[in-house]
Amino acid sequence: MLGYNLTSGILAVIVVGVIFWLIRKDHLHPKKALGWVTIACAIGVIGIFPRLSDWIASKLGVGYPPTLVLVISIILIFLKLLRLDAARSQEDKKIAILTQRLVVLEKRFENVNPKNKD
Amino acid sequence: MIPAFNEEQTVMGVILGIKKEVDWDILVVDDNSIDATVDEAHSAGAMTISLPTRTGAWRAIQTGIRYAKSEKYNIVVTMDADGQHSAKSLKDLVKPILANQYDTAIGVCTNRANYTRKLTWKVFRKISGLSLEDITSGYRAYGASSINILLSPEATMLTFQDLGVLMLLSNERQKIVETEVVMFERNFGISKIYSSWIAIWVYLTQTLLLCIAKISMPWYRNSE
Repeated sequence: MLGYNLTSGILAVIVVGVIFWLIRKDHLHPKKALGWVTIACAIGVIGIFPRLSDWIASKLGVGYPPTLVLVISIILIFLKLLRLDAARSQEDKKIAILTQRLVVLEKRFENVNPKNKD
Repeated sequence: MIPAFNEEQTVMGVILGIKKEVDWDILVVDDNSIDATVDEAHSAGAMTISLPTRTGAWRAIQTGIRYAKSEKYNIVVTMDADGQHSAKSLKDLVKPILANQYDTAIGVCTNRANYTRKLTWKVFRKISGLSLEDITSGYRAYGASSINILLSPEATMLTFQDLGVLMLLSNERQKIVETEVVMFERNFGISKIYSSWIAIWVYLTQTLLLCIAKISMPWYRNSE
């Protein structure tokens, strides 16, 4: 049987490894990468020293330390999703504007150059 | 300008109807229809713009307005492609804008609404603070300054040409007038907004949310 901090430590190392690999392979924009590296480090620290959450929980007056980690994680995930949805709305808007400008240009080009109509 | 999505049955009749009344340029914005809407519009003698993907009613309208602006038109009239709006009212609709009295004119037909619809409008009127009778009418005329506002990125976020558009215009201090127009029963097809109960529910809640979120704040305006 593995010690619990070995299990969580291995998980943390995998997560950190995946994030670095994604940055290395240009799958993750450097702008986004910094935030993820911070999170990866936090996962790493908590993973290798799970007792740390007990200590923080006791300082904050939380009776059952694992809930502290879970609550913080859920809040972060929630915020991230909200931001993602907002960003998607913005992108949707940008695509709509680009599409409109494109078809307007197409039409005006067609007006000048009727032969190019397909 | 006529936004159209799969309206091959009616679009030609609408265009011919307009031609009988006025000699304006007619543009059909095809929201990626899969039927013969574009061909029908062409053979009726209208200009057409075809969107490469389906963008929804309001964004199709915005595309037409964008084209109008780029070609230096001063007034855009939007009309449904399903034959609901009578071309006989076109001249009445643009009159207040041509006279420089108003920036936007809405064609209303008070008879067309049933009781529930009137009640809904009343609720939305109360919340939005708009004093307009018909907030969903797609028969509208926009003058030059309204055209500029409707091309803003803010306007692109809207879904329908109804309350959101009107609130945007009135927040930007556009003068809006309602003109009595002739409307017919829908010849073919059903309203896109009121197609099913779920659609109605989604539409109403969305509009309500937008309505509340976009209430103009006097203190915010003053600080600008």
